[in-house]
Amino acid sequence: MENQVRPLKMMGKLTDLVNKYWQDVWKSKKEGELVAWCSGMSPFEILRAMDINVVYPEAYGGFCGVAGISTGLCQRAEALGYSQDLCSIIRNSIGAIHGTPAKEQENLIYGGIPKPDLLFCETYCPGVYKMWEKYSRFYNVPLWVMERPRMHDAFSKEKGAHFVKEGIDELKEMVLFLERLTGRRFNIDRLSQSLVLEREANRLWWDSLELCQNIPAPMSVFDAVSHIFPYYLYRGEPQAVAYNQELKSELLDRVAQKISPMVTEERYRLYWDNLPIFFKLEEHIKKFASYGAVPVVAMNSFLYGSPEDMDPENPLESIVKLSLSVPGNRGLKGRIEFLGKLVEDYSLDGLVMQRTRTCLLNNMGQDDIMKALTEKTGLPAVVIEGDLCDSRLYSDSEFNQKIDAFMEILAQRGSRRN
Amino acid sequence: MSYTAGIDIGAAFSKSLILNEKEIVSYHVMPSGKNYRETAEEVMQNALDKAELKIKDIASILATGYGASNVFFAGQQATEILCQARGIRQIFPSVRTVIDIGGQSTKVIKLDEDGLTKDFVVSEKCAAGSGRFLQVIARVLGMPLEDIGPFSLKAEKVVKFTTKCAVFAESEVISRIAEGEKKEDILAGVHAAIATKVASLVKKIRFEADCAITGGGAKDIGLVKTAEEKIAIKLLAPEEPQVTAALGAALIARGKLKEKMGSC
Ligand code: SF4
Repeated sequence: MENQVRPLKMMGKLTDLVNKYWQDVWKSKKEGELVAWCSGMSPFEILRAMDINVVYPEAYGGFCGVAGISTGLCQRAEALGYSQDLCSIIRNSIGAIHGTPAKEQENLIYGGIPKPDLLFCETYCPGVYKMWEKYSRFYNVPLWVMERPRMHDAFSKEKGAHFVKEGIDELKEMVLFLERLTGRRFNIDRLSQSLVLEREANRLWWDSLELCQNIPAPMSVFDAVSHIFPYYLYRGEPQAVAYNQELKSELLDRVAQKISPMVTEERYRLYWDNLPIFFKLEEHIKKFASYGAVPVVAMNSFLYGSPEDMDPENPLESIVKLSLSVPGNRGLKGRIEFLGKLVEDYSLDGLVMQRTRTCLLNNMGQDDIMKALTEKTGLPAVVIEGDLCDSRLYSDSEFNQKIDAFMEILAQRGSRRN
Repeated sequence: MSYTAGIDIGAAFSKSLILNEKEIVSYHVMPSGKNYRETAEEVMQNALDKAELKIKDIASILATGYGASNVFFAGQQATEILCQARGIRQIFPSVRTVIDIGGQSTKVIKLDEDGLTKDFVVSEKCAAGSGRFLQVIARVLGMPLEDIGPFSLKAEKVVKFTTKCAVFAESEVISRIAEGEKKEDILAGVHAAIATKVASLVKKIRFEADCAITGGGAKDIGLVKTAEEKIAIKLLAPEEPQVTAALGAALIARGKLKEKMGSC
């Protein structure tokens, strides 16, 4: 029987919810409400608890990539003098914001990005930090920078506790800063209530990822990268809980009926490292499906720390822990351990390491991780050269050649389950 | 007598090879040109002519290489990596690592004790570690490609190249000529640049001996020698290193044919 790509029914709801999110942000902006630009892990909950709207220019890169317009936007950034070596997610945003004439911006996906009234970022990515500094000067709006140290393997418990305490102090300062800026009083009870919802949405998301341990997996990495958005965009709000609840139900149904999102018979289960190559998403789904291979888990899907780290009674501490304990924020040894467990829990047959050419952060340690995991588990691995938003840094023939050869290796070895 | 054929349409060169049940009966190598479909027909026809056979005499054809999908008359396809591994194993059964320096990219393939592909690495999307680099330099120096290997052996020193990009290397070679550097010393520098790239791939895959070298790059004696120095290992080179993937393709076709016959 032919392999069949079966997107989740939730896809329609997802599109509606994401559209609504952008419409609401634009509406709020037009009505004079504050809009903050945030990097991926900023303390969204505090901003929402103070009625500040949030947009993620990084995530906007993903939307533009999937829509096939990101390379053009990157080129617009280059026309302004930015180097092609700069992260394509960042170039995409610069292209949309600065490289596109004001009157054309509304023709961009979601009408472009509304201008910020304030900027937030964490220090995990120097590229984002530098870009935010630039926008702070350009728009003459305040910038708040939060430290987010990587949790190195050698850190003692005390050191970890110290970072949590420092993070809480930073959040307290941030609250004072926001109170001064908005003239509003911060209400910690409101934050606690939103943390209750966020913990629930997070738990449902981790449950959904765990359901992918089933054979066949009810959702692929290529699905997960989209279905994480409601949680990402509506953190601490009822929409994210409702969405993740429905998502989990659909996945449970699929598990009961043994329905895979991509294939008739799931032959190989793969780990995918890094984010997908956004502008090739559909083609890559088809390519893997043609071999009965499904990328079932990615470390990037565990975008937030575990719900176990959250305690709504201590909301500031929860927010800090949620950010620090993300698996991808661990030291090399911690990440290798986490991935080693995924190999077992998800019954994996191989590793696909996507090397994002312009993201230094995610490439760091990738070779060491691959070496350690292949030695430890004996699984084969393949490195594919790609990029998130710049299609000029990717080659179809190279991708196909490597995947074809990798599938031959898997075929020679057979699935681990047989 | 039953015959099988392997066709390898590479980015720079196309190769065909015909096997009978025991041995190679003919092969042909020609530039791939711009029309892969026509080249596929021509390279096959040349091998058929050499063997005095007709296409209907070939029981099974397997295509491989960058342009494999253009071989419309082939019943099956496999990757160059699989074919290269199969072909080299036939020639040197002890080989555990293959370095294939092709026109478009360099691949390093690691085999297990049974000759199955264990791992592979392919050079990045850049010509610096591939045969294309040699073609560019040969053109700039005004020398036929096949002469640059022996000529480079006369080198007294190795001219250093600061770039790793084939396009920039072209202008760098022109500058070195203008500075009065000798052609052979320039070639030694080019070989050193490619061999360094190849060595980094070989080390990355944690190669095992024996190690063989194939592809157009293996015909360049200067490059092979430099690679041996950089990797610190003796490289086994087949007599005709460009047709090993086509040989592997023909062997795979033969194996599949036997399986089919066996199951009838
Ligand atoms: S460099 Fe990497 S982490 Fe930073 S914005 Fe770009 S993709 Fe994200």
